[in-house]
Formats: sequence, C-alpha cells, structure tokens
Amino acid sequence: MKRLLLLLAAAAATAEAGTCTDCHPGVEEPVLASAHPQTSCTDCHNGDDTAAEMTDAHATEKKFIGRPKALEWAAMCGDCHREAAQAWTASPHLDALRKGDPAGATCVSCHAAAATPSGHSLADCGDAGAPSARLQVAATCAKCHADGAAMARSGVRADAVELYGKGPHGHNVLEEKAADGPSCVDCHDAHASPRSSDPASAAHPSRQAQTCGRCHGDEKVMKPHGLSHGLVAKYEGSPHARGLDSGAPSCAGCHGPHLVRVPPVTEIVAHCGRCHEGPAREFAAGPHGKAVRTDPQTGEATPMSCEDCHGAHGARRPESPWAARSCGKCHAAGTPALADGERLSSISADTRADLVRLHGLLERARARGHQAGEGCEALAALDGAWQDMSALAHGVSAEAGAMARTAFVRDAKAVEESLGRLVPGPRDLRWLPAMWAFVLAGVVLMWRKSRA
Amino acid sequence: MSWRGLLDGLDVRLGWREARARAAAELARPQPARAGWGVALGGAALGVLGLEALSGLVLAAHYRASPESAHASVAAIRDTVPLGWLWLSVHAWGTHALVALALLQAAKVFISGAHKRPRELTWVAGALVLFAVLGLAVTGHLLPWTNEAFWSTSVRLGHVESAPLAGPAAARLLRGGDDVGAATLSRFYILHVAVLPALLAALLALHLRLVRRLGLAPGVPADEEAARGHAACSEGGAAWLPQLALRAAAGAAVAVAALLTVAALHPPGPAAAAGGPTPAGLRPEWFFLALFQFLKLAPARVAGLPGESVAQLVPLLAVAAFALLPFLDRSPARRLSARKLSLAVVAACVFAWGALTVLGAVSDRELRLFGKTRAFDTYGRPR
Repeated sequence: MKRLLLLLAAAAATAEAGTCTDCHPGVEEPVLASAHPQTSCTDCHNGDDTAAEMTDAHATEKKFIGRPKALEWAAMCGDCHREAAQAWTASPHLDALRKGDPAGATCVSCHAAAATPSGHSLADCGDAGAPSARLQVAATCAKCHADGAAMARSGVRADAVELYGKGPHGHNVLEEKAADGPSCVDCHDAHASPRSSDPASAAHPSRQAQTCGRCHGDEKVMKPHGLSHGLVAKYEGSPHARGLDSGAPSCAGCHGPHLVRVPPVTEIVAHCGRCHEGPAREFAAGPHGKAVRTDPQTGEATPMSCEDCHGAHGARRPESPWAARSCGKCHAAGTPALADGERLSSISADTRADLVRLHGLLERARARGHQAGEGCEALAALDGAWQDMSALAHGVSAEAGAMARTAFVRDAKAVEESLGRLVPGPRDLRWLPAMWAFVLAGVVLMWRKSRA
Repeated sequence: MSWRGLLDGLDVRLGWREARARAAAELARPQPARAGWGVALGGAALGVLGLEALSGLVLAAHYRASPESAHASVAAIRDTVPLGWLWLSVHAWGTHALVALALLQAAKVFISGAHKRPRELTWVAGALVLFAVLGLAVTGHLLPWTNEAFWSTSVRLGHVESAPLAGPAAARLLRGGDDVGAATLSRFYILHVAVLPALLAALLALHLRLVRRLGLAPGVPADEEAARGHAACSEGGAAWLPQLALRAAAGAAVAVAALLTVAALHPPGPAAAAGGPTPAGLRPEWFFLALFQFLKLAPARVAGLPGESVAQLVPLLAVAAFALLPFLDRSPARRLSARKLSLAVVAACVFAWGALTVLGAVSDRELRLFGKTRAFDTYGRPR
C-alpha cells in the first residue's frame, strides 16, 4: 500500500516532466524504479521542463547542462549525501578523474544498477542486488580494479579482487553469501577509498591489526569459523607490532592483503627469511632445517619451521633458559641434543646480559657528558656480533656458539674497559690526611721560625 | 762563560742586582708591630690565586672552546685526565675561596684603616683585583657549556644590555650576536684565559709593589705617620723577610690545603649540556645574590625610563664607591672609635648587602627552617 502511494506521488511529480518524456522516451521508467523516484529531470539536468519548445527547455540561460559530467556528480549528490560526497572528494578516484582518467569512479559508477552507469537507475544500498550491496561490492570494484590497463595508469594492482575471490574472505562472501562477510569496503573505505599506503586507510600497515581485529578479535564472529580470536592480541604484543615503523610485518605482511591465507608450513622459513635472513639461512643449513616431524596419530610428516620455537603471531624470542621449554618439546632429557640446547641457551642469556650491562654503561657515560664515540662504535659492533650469534644459534651447533661467545667476551671486555674509564668509581682520598700532616708540620715550623 | 759571568753580563744589561738590593732593603724594613699574623690572610688569597692559575693551566690544556666539544671536553677532564676531577673541582671552588678571601681582606683593611693616606692606590688596585676575579668567575662559569651556565649567562648579558648608556653595545660585544652562542663562548674563553688574567696580574703586581714600597699601615693616624715617617712608627716590628713572609706562606699553605680538601670531598658532578629549556630556579653564585635580588625590586619604569636601567645605577654607584673608598673616607683617624660615621655608613651598606643576599638565597624556594617547611616568594618574603 505504502509503495503504491509512493508511486502515485512520484507519478504526480513527474507529470510536469511530460514535456521531457515527449522526446526522451524510456527515461521515466528507470527513474520511477530507482531509489529516487520523486526526482524531476531538472533536478539533475537543469533547463526548463515546463517550456513548450525544445530550444527553450534546453536553453543555456536556464542553466541546462545536458548529461552531468563525471566531476559534477559529487556536487549534485552531495546536496543531500554530504558525508559520502565529502569523503569522495579526498579519494584517489577523484584524483584519477582530475588527471583525465575515465576509470576514476564517481557516484554513479558504484550506485547505478544498470550496466551502463546512469543517474536514472540509482539503486538503494539496502537492496541486495544494488552494486554497492555487500555481496555485489567485489564485482562492482572489479569493473575497474580488474582492468590491468586502467590500474596501470594509476599504479594500482589489478589482481586484488581476483586474489580476494580465491581467499577465505572472498569465499565467505561470494560462495557462502555470508551477510557479514568481509568485502572490499570493510578495509578500503567505500567513499574515501584511500590507498593502503595512506596512514588514514584502515588497510595501512599501522592500522591492520585494528581493522582485522574488528572481526578476528571477536570471539562471536570467529567461533562459527573455528578460528581463534586471540591471535590479533598476540600480534599486538609482538616485536613485529612494535617494529612497524621500521618495516616489520603487519597482518598482511604474512597473510597477504587480499588472498588472506594461512602460509603453509613449508613456506614459513623462506617467508621469515625475507627479513630474518641470517637465522633462516643457518636454520636451513642446520639439523633442524632438514628435520621432519611425523604426527604419531595421522602419520603426517611436516618439516620444522620458525613457528615451533617463536610462535606465529607472538613472534617472540624464546624466554631464557629456553632449552627445556623449546628443545624439550622434541628432545628427551639427558640427550646430547638437549645438552647442546642448554649450552646455547646459557650463551644467549649471558651475551644478552653483557649487552644490557654495556648499554647501561654507555648511557651512564652519556649522562656524564661524554660523547663516547669510540665506545659507542665498538658497542654497535658488539650488537652486530650478537645478531650474528643469534643467527648462528639457529644452526644449533654448540661448538660454533661457544667459539662466537669467546670472541664476544674478548671484545666486550675491551668495550667495558673503554666505557668504564668514562664512568669512574669513588675517588681515592687517602692522601688528604698526609697532606694535612705535611702542611701543619710546615706551619708549625714557619711559626717557630717567624718568632725567632 | 761561567755561571757568574752570565749573571754579571745580565746585570750590566738589566741592572738586576741593584733592583734586588732595593727590594731586599725594602723587605728588610721593620713593619708596624700590629702587623702580626694578619698578613696570613693576604698570603692565603695569593696561595689560592696561585692554585687557580696552576689548575687553570691544566684545564686549558684539555679544554676545547666550542659549543660542540666544550661540554664533552670538560667531562673528559673530569673522568679521564689523571687527577682532572681534582683540578676541575679546585678551579671551581677556588673562585668562591678567592672572592671570600678578597672580601675578608677588604674588611680587614677597612677596619684597620689601612686604606688611608698614603695607601689609597693600594686599595684601588686591590679593589680592581677583586673586580677582575669576579670577571673571571663570570666568564669561567660559561666555559663548561652546561645548560645552567648557558641560561645564567643569557640572563647576565641581558642585565648588561639594560645597563645605562654603553649597555647594549657592551652586551653585543660580549655576546658576539643576538644570542649566547659559539661567538660568546670564544669571547668568554679569551677573556678568561688571556685578557682578565693579564689584567689581574698587572693589578696584583701594582698592589704588591705598593704594599712593598709603602709598608704596612701603622696604628697611628695617617697625619701622624706622614709627620713621623713609616720607620719611626714601626720600631721593634718584624720585617717582611723572613718573619712576615713566613706567616703569609703559612696562611697560603693552610688555604691551599683547605681548598684541596673541600675540592676533593665535594667535586662537581655531571651537569646537562646547553641546549635544554631554561632551568627552574636559576640563581647566581652567592656573591652575586644581592645584586640578583636588588634588580628584582626594580619597577618596570622609573620617571619614564626603563626601570632596570635606573635601578642599575645603585649597584654601579656602590661599586664605584667601593673602589674609590679611600677618597670618600678621608679622615686621618685609623682607630675605629674615631671613625664612627664612616663605620656606620659602611656597616649599613654591608647589612643591606647581607640582607639582600639572604633574601636572594631563600627567594622562590621552599626551605625547612627550625623544623617547619616555609615557602618564600620571589622577593624572599615568607608566603
């Protein structure tokens, strides 16, 4: 009933436009079926829809604009849809249009239901068939974002939607038709759609944990999928989260931004090795790099990976002493392998304690006003040596570890001496009483002599 | 040529034997009996000054006068140069000792009336030595390039800038620009190690030459001394050589030992390098506290003129009066009981100076006094 009344009202409103439809047949129908049935022709095209003559109706004095140009849509729609239009004016879509790229998306590119984008067929977002509806978003974006030539002009990847479709997010939405599945606009704002390199983007590395955490940190959302909801929190406490500014990976760094997959165990070492080159190299060359574990129940054989000792999302250095905690998972007590692990663990703990002490000493020297350039350089070299040692530890050779430790201890001693000179201990004041005895004896002598 | 031949040859050219004989004769003259151990005070000041010169030489050998390296070079002196910490501490504490001994010496001279005719210039030269020491204190304070020194020097040069007449020009000359910076450090360094020490040495030489030439003041009034002659007023007294010189040396030895003791027990610790924000509670050394406190009292404007410039006239006049005291205090009397007026005026000035010093020391501070915590405002009044 309500819909009928609406249609009648719309018919009344468009009745005035009868003069337009005389020459433009087929226009009225899509407008009446669109989300804006009351809109009259002049609302968008200006001109005069009451004029008897075509030239009067299309007169430039009446500000007739003909077909609105791409750049004119946001101003027109923004009269009512202010926030969306405002956001769009800061978007890369507008940048592309300004540069004359026809692929730059404007309001009708995403909100027109018809195959040929037109303001006559603007669709209601709530309508499941609308191009901006959750289940349609990927296809709508793909109209341009899968076009290699168009994307190349703006320096944007053209495989994003394809990868999304292949991954679990795409599967969830496109195959399972999940009403709450993640679409493009969940990570890339629908109207501002900032590039992911823009810190304002929810897809920027600095904001990925927050963005992904909206679903992946929510037990209610994760449970039906059989996924843990604690991984984002674990990542947020990791050295990777702290090191984002220096290029440490965010969520997409390991899972990929669009494919969003769990990296297979066979790829982990190579993947971590892209940054942790030394440890990955030593690991691969050492006994663990060749080790294969067989699941006692399934009989499935899997290689060892970084995750076994460091965890995936926490990415933590194992806590010292780590032999029992890490090595003990596979090696029984009393075995030579566990003894080697214990040696390496204590070497690691001792070396780290040395570095903490030396850095403390450098800080104290600095606080005393010393530039300590030499000691600082030597300490940086020791930090480098520690990096090499921790890489070497991944080859789990206790002999190599002990050799490196001997060299480290020798250099650390030199640094400690050089920095220690800048931070002297309490002064020796034993000469004071002797000086006073000497001075007083002299004064007595002079006193006697001055009397004589 | 034999050693003796060399000395003979030098005597022909320099006439040093005659000069030595004249000095020896002057130093062998008996001095007034009341001289006693008072000369130990002057000896102490000389001893401390000698230690300042020696420690200054050691410090200058390691110090680098540039904003980039000054602070670190002082840290290196303190922590890596053998006994550098002690030299540094002695040099810093020596300033306080020297100012204190010079003020005590001035008090002693005033009380004994020794500044009166014919020893007016001895006083003037001595006063100028004290001013040179204060100049050395101010310039030396900036050299470690600590944040505190940077800001207190900025404040001090600000006061110089508002001094009447030549103030702005003098401030620019000292600062070498609009702000305290590398040029200021260079200028203060050259003043501290060359200009002021040379000036001090010349003034001190004049001061000591006059002491030697005119002898120590006897207790009799100046006119009686002039009538009877110094020798007649000094019968039976000890001579400079050897007695008085030994007493002065004993004073020097004790002062040096005391300075070394204080310096060894309280060496200066590390302080932040220049470049930080203005530290809170910035205040000068104790001997400038009265001036610091007095300038706070200056109103913004006095009779349409900048208040501080007008206010500065008071300490400037006081300083001039101090240097020219013998020409203001002209009565021949030396006994205090016969000099009531000048004693009252000087006592009032000393009281004002002491009171301003105390107010300056407590101003803007919270102190625990007599078991109670008391806060003082910027004028030193209890809040």
